[in-house]
Amino acid sequence: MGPLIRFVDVTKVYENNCTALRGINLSIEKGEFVFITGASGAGKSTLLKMIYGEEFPTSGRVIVDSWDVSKIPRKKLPYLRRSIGVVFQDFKLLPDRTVFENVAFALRVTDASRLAIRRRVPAVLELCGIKDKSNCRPDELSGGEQQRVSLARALVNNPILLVADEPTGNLDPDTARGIFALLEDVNDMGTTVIVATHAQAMVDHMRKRVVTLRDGILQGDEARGIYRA
Amino acid sequence: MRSSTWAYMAGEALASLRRNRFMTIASITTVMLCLLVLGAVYTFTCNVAKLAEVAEAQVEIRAYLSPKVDEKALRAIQEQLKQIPGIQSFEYISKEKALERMKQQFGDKEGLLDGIDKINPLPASFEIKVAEPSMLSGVAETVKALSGIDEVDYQKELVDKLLLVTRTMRFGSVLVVVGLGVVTIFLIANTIRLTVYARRKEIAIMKLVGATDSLVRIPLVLEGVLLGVVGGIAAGLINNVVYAYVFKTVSSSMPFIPLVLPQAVNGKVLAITAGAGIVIGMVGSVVSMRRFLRI
Repeated sequence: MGPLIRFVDVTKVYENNCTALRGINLSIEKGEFVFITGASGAGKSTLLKMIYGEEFPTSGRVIVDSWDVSKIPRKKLPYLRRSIGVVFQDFKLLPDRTVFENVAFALRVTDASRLAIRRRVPAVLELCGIKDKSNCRPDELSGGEQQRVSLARALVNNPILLVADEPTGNLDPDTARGIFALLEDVNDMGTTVIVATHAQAMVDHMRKRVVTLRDGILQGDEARGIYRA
Repeated sequence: MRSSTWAYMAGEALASLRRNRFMTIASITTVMLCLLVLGAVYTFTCNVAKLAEVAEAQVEIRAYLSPKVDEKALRAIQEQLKQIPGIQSFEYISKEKALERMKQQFGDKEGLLDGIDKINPLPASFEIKVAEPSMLSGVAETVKALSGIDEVDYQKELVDKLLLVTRTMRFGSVLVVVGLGVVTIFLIANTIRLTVYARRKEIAIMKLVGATDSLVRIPLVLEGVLLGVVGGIAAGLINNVVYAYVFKTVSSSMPFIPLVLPQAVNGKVLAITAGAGIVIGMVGSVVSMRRFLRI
């Protein structure tokens, strides 16, 4: 079996002729924990978006599991996304729904049964440490709690892969530590985790694989690396 | 999709209508106003058609018999008239009856006709009604060719004018109805676009967690259809009440105007506005959300 994710000579030029990524070659194995680091505008988000099909390469190929994301038909895209959990810096929670509903939402779109929803949602809320907030609305929660809800939503479908784009960008260092610990737990349970981040202290502390981007070019890839901008 | 997913989508549509109460009311009002005009135009059109029908029914052909026609020949002509397609009915007016009518028309000046009885210069004739006014000239030609018919007369110019007027009115009202329909769809599409725009974030999140396009679309289309059908029914009912009132007022003060009975038109108006509401709501929501699904 090959790697879970493969970038083959990937270049992305946006419509305004701004080049986000240039000739990226990258392999990520199943079960890995990978940090993507680099200054703002280095292409971290673009790289992540290509994994779950929000952006597509201008040239080159992106392979995720058995999917060729660079050529995926629109109709199949939802099914790729169901096997990938995504976490955002701004959480992207629905403000007018409870925590439970926000998480159940991701299951509902997969046509899950009521029973499956009733079983799976509390379990994943418990895992993320917010089971007691089940009936709260997002604006009643702290930033850290909101990010845990967003993590719960990403995990509820049992994804093979978790992608997090600056998950602690809006959080204080203490809260961020909690989120990273949770990401590590998820990784320990077998899910591949890819995190784009600026949190230098955490990257240096955790000593995971670090992929560094600069101006859209792959600058470094270390097995037990430290943060480099 | 499972039934619980359908139930979820229906619930979503209702919940979102409740959450965006202001938009809901605005959309329903827009649909209602547009369809109110549509219903009124339709009712008006029905009345124009009826008026035209009544006017057209009064046009007839008069065929004058030659004085040489005897009893036997007369029966032969009657048999032949029965065979001509397009003739709805005909009536034989004998010389005596023609004179009788003329006397009636002269009224109290009947005296002027004294002495005319003995010679009676009026010819016998047939009054012929045709099924369609457009058949008038054709039928007239056929009748004229029969032996024993001296002359055929109908008000050709009047008929042509009447036909032109009714045709123009029918065509014009179809045009107005179609035009209004298009404008209505535009307005609704815009209103629904605002709703969809207000929810673009939600749609984006749905797409990112792996919702298929139809799962995003179905609740929104349901919403559009609900808005449309409520607005449409409201428009239809208002139309019905107003027309019933107009009918009552006009038929009591101006009974000579042949109005269509409310029972004959109200059901159709309701069906049309409700149906148009559904179509407009559906088309409007599908058209306006296409852009937001491209994520």
